[in-house]
Amino acid sequence: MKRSAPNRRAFLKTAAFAGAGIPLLKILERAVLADSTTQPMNFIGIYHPHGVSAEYWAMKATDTETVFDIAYANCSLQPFDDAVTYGKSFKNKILVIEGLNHLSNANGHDSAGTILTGSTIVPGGTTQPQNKSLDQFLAVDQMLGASTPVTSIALGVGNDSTASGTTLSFGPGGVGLPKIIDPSAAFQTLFGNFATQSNPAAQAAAAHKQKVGQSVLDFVTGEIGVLRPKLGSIEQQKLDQHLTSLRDIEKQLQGGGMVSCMAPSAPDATQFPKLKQYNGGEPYFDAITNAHVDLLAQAIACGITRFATLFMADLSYAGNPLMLPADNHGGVAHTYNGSSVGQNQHPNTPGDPTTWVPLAELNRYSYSKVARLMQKLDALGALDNTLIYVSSDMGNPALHSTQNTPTVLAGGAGGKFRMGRRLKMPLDCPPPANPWCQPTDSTWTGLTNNHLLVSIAQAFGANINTFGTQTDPKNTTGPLANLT
Amino acid sequence: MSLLGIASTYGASFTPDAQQDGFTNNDAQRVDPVFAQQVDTAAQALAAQARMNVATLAPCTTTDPTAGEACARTFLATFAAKAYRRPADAREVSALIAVYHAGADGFTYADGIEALIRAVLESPGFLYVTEIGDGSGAPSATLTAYETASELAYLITGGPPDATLTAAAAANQLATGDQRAAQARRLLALPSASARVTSVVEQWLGIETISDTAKDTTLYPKFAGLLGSIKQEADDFVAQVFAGSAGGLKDLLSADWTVTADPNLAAAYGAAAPGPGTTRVSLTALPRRGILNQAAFLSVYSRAQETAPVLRGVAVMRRIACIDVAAPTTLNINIVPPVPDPTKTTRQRFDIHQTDPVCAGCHKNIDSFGFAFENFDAMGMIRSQENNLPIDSSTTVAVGADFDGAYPDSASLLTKMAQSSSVASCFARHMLKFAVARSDATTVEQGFMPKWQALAPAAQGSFGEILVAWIASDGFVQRRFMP
Repeated sequence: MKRSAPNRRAFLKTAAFAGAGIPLLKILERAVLADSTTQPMNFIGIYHPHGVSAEYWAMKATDTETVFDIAYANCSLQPFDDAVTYGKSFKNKILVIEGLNHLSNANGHDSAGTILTGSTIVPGGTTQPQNKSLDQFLAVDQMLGASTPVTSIALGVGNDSTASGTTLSFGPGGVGLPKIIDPSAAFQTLFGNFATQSNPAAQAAAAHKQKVGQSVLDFVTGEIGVLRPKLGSIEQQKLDQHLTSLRDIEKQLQGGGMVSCMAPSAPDATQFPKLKQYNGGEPYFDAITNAHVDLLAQAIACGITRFATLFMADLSYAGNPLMLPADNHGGVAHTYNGSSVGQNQHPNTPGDPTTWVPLAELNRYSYSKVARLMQKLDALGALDNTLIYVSSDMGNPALHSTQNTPTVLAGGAGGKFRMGRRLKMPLDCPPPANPWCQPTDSTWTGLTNNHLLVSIAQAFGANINTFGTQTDPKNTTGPLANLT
Repeated sequence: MSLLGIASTYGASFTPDAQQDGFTNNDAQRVDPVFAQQVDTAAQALAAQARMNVATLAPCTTTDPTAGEACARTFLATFAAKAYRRPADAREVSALIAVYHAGADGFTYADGIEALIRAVLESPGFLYVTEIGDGSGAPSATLTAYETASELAYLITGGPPDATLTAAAAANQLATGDQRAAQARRLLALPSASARVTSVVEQWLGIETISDTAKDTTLYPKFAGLLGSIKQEADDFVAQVFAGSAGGLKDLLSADWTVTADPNLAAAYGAAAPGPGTTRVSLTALPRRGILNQAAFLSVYSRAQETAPVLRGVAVMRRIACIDVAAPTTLNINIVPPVPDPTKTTRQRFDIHQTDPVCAGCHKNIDSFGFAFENFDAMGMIRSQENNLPIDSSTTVAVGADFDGAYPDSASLLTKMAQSSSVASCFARHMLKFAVARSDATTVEQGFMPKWQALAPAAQGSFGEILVAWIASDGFVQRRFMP
């Protein structure tokens, strides 16, 4: 005797009634609905500076989509497979995508604005993208951030500018949104009103919520126990799977859920007496980044917000812990002399291997912060429901190239994307085309990151098939293949 | 039926259903961790919303938790029965009352009702459709009246039983084939049944993915603008073809008309726009017949830049004719598609299949179907030339079927296939697979196909009549216990 779950749409039909609602109720409903769509999925966009040392980032000849080595010497992706430092390997929680392009139609440094907007950058006075960024589209337009205390948050390190090249989050029309660069301010924004610890009434409410949640789980578990003996072994397996799923929820309820939602203590402001780039803030960037990362993890896990961006900085000061030249920009990024793999596959370019290592080291530093974020989210039970999109404005920084940008997806992505893989997009100018062909040429077959933005939006339930602003609509239309 | 009187689109955000044989109605569904979390979240939000209407949903003269228990029991008597599609038994009620107290004690009556609603929405009684019978564990069992009602309702409308069906279950009036057939016919007339048949037929043909299909915008600039109308055309056409108990399959495959309210789509087809007050468009003057000549099917089974004769051919063989086609992966063949060549037509490029004996083994048959569609481009518009060369859509089908023969194009081939008894039986087997919701339906199929053979010829191609025949049969309510 089979016993089958009705399909998911059937749940909708059973629980729902498509009655004539008055507009106010509909708005309310949609906001509450947002809770259900986003509870499983949080989004964090992260920028790191200075492109990538492709030689220590790209797939090796021996790598396959699912079997690959990122622990070899100098590999910048090492932090994702470093159980000693981060408690476990997150290799199965990343999806590295090679060969996406940021078609900004602008100087590489202004192209950060393209990462989450998929828009060309309008040059001149404003120098900004033409549409809002993905985090804002999801949090505001789709109302997925409506039910959390903080709709979305944009954090930055060292630079509170809102110009295209300095931020990821843009509002309607592509207007840059303010970033918070002070972790103390970020704490106030995220946890200022979150006074569970000191407020007895809020504490009692939280305890009640946990008690009810546990009671419901006990009830459902008990009902399954009554049903199970009446079924054949195959059907029993289905119920066992259901029980396993319930234990996951219970774990969150008892461990992650409540414990993590005690407000963290405020960051120690003495760790970063100065905040701003070019104003003595550089030596504190590492501490600022860590504080931001830790706050983000707490806020996401507590459901304070579900949409965040973090704009990281380099460590341009003498005596930096990476022992890189004091000017990371001029001394590391601009001196990078890539081989063919780092030169958009242009032929006959051996490059200079000695220049690959310092940039790889800077990249590894950037990824170490992503790994730290993953570690914290994981400890709070929120990593599996989070999608982190990490990229830089450029691919090859010495060329200021916006081709072959280093795209890394991290987290469990709510099961929407198949993680633990490496993907290679088609070449921009495959033979026999001129390897220097341009996006406007007919031989150009490169893919824009707009497709990834469409995929992410769809993963969050948005019913769209295009994202961003490009001259040729084919560059904005359709999801990226092979993610789901 | 409404459980809570709340408009909701929760289901739409759930993770996609597992598919078997292309159908989402199947026994592979699981409450996996992601789905469980989504259900938990949706149940909490719905319960919190329902709480705002507690005075209407579960009225009570007291807010005192202890005194409120009686009101909670009254509420449960109707609410749990609706949610479980059967009355809750005493043990279930008492387990739910424990949840009520967890919510209410120390707080209020409304808190208890909120907890109750959440528990019911997460319970197996709500989430699963059971097929247990009386639970005696005998080697075979007959579904209970309430189980039969659920089975019927989910099959035909995709939702829970309505009040009439529930009343029939309560009065034990679903035990005979005639009783079930009468209820089935009643349900088939509902709008939800029409939406269901559209969805099932589109899953069968694989065209439900049309909404996720994109074309190269330089080659097919009109596609994105027409996409909505293309999807609507398929939906409306299927709904009209299978309305009531008409012999839908023949029209589905060979109708010389289609349905669209969009004059741009009609114009793209080369047809006259529909007249006032109608959405029906005549195709008599065009080489375009039935669903497989509509833009939805032709676009789904194409690439972004060009047609895909192999995809089209395989779809017709597997889905329409039930002719087995081995997958290249199982044959351990490395596929090397012919490279684009501006001096040849797609058909000329794919003709390499004929010259390579390894390819020809399968592709002789596949291409004989696929090439017949070559007079339609990658978004299903009629073309007479490709790369300035004339299009050839003529074909000779020789697969040992009752539609073997030479045809100038797919429209004439499909007109012939629409009359074929093997195509009709293929349709019936696909619909039965959907109805039984199992991939391994061989035994059930062997029992059912003679009953289908006995139907009148027109009924053999009717979605509704096939379902009614299945629902009236003993197989619909009988289950073998699989230890």
